[in-house]
Amino acid sequence: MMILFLLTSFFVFGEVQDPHWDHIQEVSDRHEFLKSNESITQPQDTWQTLFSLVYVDQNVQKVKDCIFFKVPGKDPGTLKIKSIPYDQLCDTYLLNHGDKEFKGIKTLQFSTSDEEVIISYSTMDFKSKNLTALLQKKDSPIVTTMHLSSAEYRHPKVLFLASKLIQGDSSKQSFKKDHEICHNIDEDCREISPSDCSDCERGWYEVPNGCPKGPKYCGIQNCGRQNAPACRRGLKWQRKEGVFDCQLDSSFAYCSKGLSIQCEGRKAFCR
Amino acid sequence: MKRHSDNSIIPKIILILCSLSILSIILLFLRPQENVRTKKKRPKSNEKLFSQVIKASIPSILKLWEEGDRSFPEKGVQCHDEIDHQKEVGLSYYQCNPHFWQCYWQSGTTQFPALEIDLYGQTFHVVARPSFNAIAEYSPSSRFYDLFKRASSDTDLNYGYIVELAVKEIPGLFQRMILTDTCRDTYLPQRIYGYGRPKERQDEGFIWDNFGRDLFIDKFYVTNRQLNEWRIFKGESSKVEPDRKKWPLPALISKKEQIEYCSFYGKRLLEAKIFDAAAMSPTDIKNPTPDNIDRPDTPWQRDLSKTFLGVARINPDYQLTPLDCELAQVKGCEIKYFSTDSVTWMGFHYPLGFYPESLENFIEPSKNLKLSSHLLDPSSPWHQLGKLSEWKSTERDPLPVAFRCYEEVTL
Repeated sequence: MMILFLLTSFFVFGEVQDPHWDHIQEVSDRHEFLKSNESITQPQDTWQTLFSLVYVDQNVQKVKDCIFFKVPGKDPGTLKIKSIPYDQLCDTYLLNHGDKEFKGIKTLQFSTSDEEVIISYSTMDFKSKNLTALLQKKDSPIVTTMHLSSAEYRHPKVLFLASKLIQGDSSKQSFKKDHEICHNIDEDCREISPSDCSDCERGWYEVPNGCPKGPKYCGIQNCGRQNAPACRRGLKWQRKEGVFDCQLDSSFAYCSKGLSIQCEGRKAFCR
Repeated sequence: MKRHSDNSIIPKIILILCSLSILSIILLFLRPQENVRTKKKRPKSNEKLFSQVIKASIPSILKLWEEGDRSFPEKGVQCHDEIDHQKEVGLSYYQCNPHFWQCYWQSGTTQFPALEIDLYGQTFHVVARPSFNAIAEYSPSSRFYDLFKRASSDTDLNYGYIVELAVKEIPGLFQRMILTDTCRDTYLPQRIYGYGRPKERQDEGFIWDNFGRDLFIDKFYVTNRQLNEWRIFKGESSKVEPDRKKWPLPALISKKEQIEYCSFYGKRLLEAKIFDAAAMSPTDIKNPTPDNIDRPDTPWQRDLSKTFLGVARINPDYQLTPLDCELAQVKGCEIKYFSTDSVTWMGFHYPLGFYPESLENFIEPSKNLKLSSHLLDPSSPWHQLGKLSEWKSTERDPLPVAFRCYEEVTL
C-alpha cells in the first residue's frame, strides 16, 4: 500500500496551458511575503495574489494573467487565473471568477527564475501537477557595442503575440503629452522619479542643468536656438563638485553661434 | 540466546534493505520529468509541439528577414508588385525589407516557400500566412505582414512588421509575432568627438562627448520604400510613390517633412555634429578620451592629398576608377544605391559623395547641408569631411537632398 501511495504521488502531470505562457515578458504584482519554493499554507481559507505574468496580446497591448490562490484550510485550495489589461490591479479581481480555476488543491508552491516560472501543486487525490511559464529572453544583454541596432537594444528581435484579445480602457491617455516631464532630475542632480521617456510618442529632449543627466521632457524642442534650452555638450563638461554655479561655469552646454547662455536657476537657456 | 537473536535480526535488515533498493529503483524509474526536459521528448499536445517548432524556427525566420540579400535569387524575383529590381541597387536593400518578405512567401523567389525545421526526428515546414488585409497602394493581394506602429506606451517597440506563422504538419494553429527592424541603424560608441574643421591647427574647435548617451544612427538614407510606409500610416495614399524602381532610392522631401518623418518614429533628423562623429574615424579607437581630437579629411584616409579626391584637384583629367566610386560617388561615377563599400568606422554609409544630405545644426544653424555628392566633380572642394553648406529647402529648390534620422534611446 505504502509503495502504491508513493508511486501515485510521484506522478507529475503537466497541465495543458495557454500557448502564450511560452512567451511571457515579465513577472509582476509579486506577493509581498510569499516566497519562491515554499509551500503556501497561511493565511488559511483566504485568497492571495501570487503574481502576474505579463505578455502582449494580438492588438500589441500589454496584458497580464493574474495568478490567485485560495490557501487550503477547512476547504481544499483553489488556483485561479484571470487575464486583465496590464494597467489594472490584480487585487481588483481577487474575488471575481477566474478564466481558469483548478480546485481541490492540497499544497501549492511556485518557483521563479530568469527563464521560467513553475507553479507546482498536489491535489486531494495525491496527484502532482505543474504549470510552467517561459520568460522571453533578450537576444542580447543591454550592453552597447559597435553595430548594435536600436531595435535590438530595446527589445528582443522577435516579439511574440498571444492569440488572446483583452479589452482595455480605450479612452486612457497612453502616451505622455508633449513638453510633459518624463525624467525628473532636480537641481542637486537627484533623480526625483525614474525615466519614463519611452512613453513619449515623438521622442524627448533634455534641458541641461550641469548634472550628468538633466531633466527630460517629451516631444521636440530644438536646443541652442534663441530662447530655447541650451544644448548638452557632454559628460566631460558636467559639474563634478557639489557646489556649482551655472553663471560661473556654463561649459556643460552650448548655444548656436551668436547666442549666449543665460542661466535660470541651474538650467541653461540661449538668449 | 545471543546467536538466536542475531539470526532473527539479519533477515529483517536484509528485507528492509531489499525493499528500500526496490523502492529507490522504482522511484528513479518514475522520475521522468527531469529527463523529459533534458532529452526534449516530443510533447504530446499539438499546442506544445507547435510552440516548440515555432521557437526552433526563429533563427531561420530571422535569417530570411535580416539577410534577405542572401536569399535573393541570381535570376531575379517574380513579384512585380513588390520588387522591380534594378542592377544599380545593392542587395543590402533587401535586408529587413517587408517587400522581400512578401515576395518570398508569395512564391516570388522559390516555387514552394517554406522553412524546414528538423525536430524530434521529423521535418516540419514553417510557413507565413497571408492573414493581413491588402494594402491597396501596393497590390490587391492579401499581405504576409502588417505594418505596426505603436499606438500606446504599452511596448517599447516603436514600429515593426506583424507576421503570422503556421506549421504545415500541425494544422489549425498559428503564431503571430512582430519582426523588428534590426537592419536600419547602428550604435555611435561613447567617446569624445570633434565637430567641423577648426580654422587653425592649434585650435581644437568644437568638441563634445556622448558618454552616458545611447545614440543610434540610420546606416543609409531614408528610402521611398520607408517613406511610403509613413504615408500609409498617415492615410496619405495619394502621396505613395507608385514606381517600384524608385522605392530603394533616397526619399527627397522638404526639410519640414524630413523632421516630421523622423519624429513620427520617435527619432530626429541627423545632426551635423553626429554626422561628423560617425564619419571621422578616431585616431585611436581604443581610447575614448584622447587629448587631441583629429579631424580627418575623408573617412578612409586622413590626408585628402593622398586620395583620389586630392589627386583630382591637382589633375583635372583624373579618370575615376570603380573603387573610387565605391568610396565616394562623385560626378562621373555610375549611380549605385545601397553600395556597402563607403562604410565608415562605425557602420555609417555615404559620408562623402552620393546625395546632398540634410542636417540639423545647432552649433552653426546655416551649415545644414552636406553638399559633397554625385552632383559635384571629384575636384570640388566640398568633398571633404567637416565642410557644410546651407540648404533653405524652398519649393523651387531643384537640389535633390536626401536625409536620415538618428535616435537617442533611454530605457
